[in-house]
Amino acid sequence: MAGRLKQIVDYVKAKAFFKNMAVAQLNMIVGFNVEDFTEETPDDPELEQKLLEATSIILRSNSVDTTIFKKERL
Amino acid sequence: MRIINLLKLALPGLIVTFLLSFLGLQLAALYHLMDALFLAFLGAVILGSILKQKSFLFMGIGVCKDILIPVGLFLYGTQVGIKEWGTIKFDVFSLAVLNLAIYFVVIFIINRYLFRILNNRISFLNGGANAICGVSATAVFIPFIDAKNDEVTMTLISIVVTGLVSVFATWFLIQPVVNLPLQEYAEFCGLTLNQTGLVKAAAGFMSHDAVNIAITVKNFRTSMIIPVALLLMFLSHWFGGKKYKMPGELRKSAVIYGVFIAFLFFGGALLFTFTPLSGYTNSIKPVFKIVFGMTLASVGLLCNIRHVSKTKMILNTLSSIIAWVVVAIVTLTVIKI
Repeated sequence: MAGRLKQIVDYVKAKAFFKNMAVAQLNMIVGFNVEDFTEETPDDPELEQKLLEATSIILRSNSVDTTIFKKERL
Repeated sequence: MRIINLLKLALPGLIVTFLLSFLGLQLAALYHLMDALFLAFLGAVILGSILKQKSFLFMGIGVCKDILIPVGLFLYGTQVGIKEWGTIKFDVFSLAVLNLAIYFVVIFIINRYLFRILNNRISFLNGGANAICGVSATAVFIPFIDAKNDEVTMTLISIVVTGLVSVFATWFLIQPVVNLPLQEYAEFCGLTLNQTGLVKAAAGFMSHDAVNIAITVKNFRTSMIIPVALLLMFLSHWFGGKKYKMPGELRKSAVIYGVFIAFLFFGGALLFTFTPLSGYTNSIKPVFKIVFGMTLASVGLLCNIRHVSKTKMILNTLSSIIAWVVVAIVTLTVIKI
């Protein structure tokens, strides 16, 4: 499967008021440019978990409802 | 506390973009045909391609894109002088719109069917940026089509090369052959060249009056930036292919962003044309150049020429030059008639 990492980045972009700053925070947390993710980027459960934790910090929510990534496209 | 921490993280990026913008402004002051924004951007692309580690710049770049692009567009609006648009002839308005369509269609067809560049987003970005105001337009278009860094790099390189080729071709090849009078030559420059700095340079070869006319026409083209950004978003959604479709929520937020920056751009333009604030337009200019230079530098810093496909980059540039040739022929024909 592929594309879930990009979905998380798109989720942050859609939800954050300052999109680029939010993505920059993600970049700093994971240590590389997450904007390079595409629909074809292979899924990586470990990185996905890290991204989800970072997302909940950036969007200031206690947790991110991961089911939305499974059920529907953003 | 959170804001202070964010600013601390953003400081390196902000300092680098400020220095690039300031350096561009200083270099441009040395020779009147050089453009500060263009130089700031060029410096950033070179630095971005040299730097191996850019993570320390990410937050500053994010601040530039999220805060300085809207501020820069407001300041851009203060410089366009809507009142002067009254001096533009109707056929020039029509040609500006026609040229926009030509840029899109020619670049799309050549890239897609001749050069086999299957990523239509590159063609749309290239067409839109060349039709409006080059590098500045690219910076504004990025969120509307969720453009990737390699797509932006390819577009920016094609804009720079097309711009330089077209400005010299205009004065040293076209003008000696067709010998246009001042008004027509200035309109030709304002209608066909991509960067505002290059329009100034090409018109400046003739006279200061030509620069004023050309810039008025060019400012009208620039004002189409938001409608074209929205058009790009829908073109990319409909014809970009499944792989490049933007998620619905992102598209919605891009539309809201578009309305917001259009409000800022035209708000600045109206405020500084029809109110007593118009007297401050010239004093704002250096601030505008520094702020907008920083936003262009932030886009340039993410570029890395070494990481993009050289063949695609050359072909994309070639299609952009061909599109300019077509636009130049059509414009000349209409102007001469």
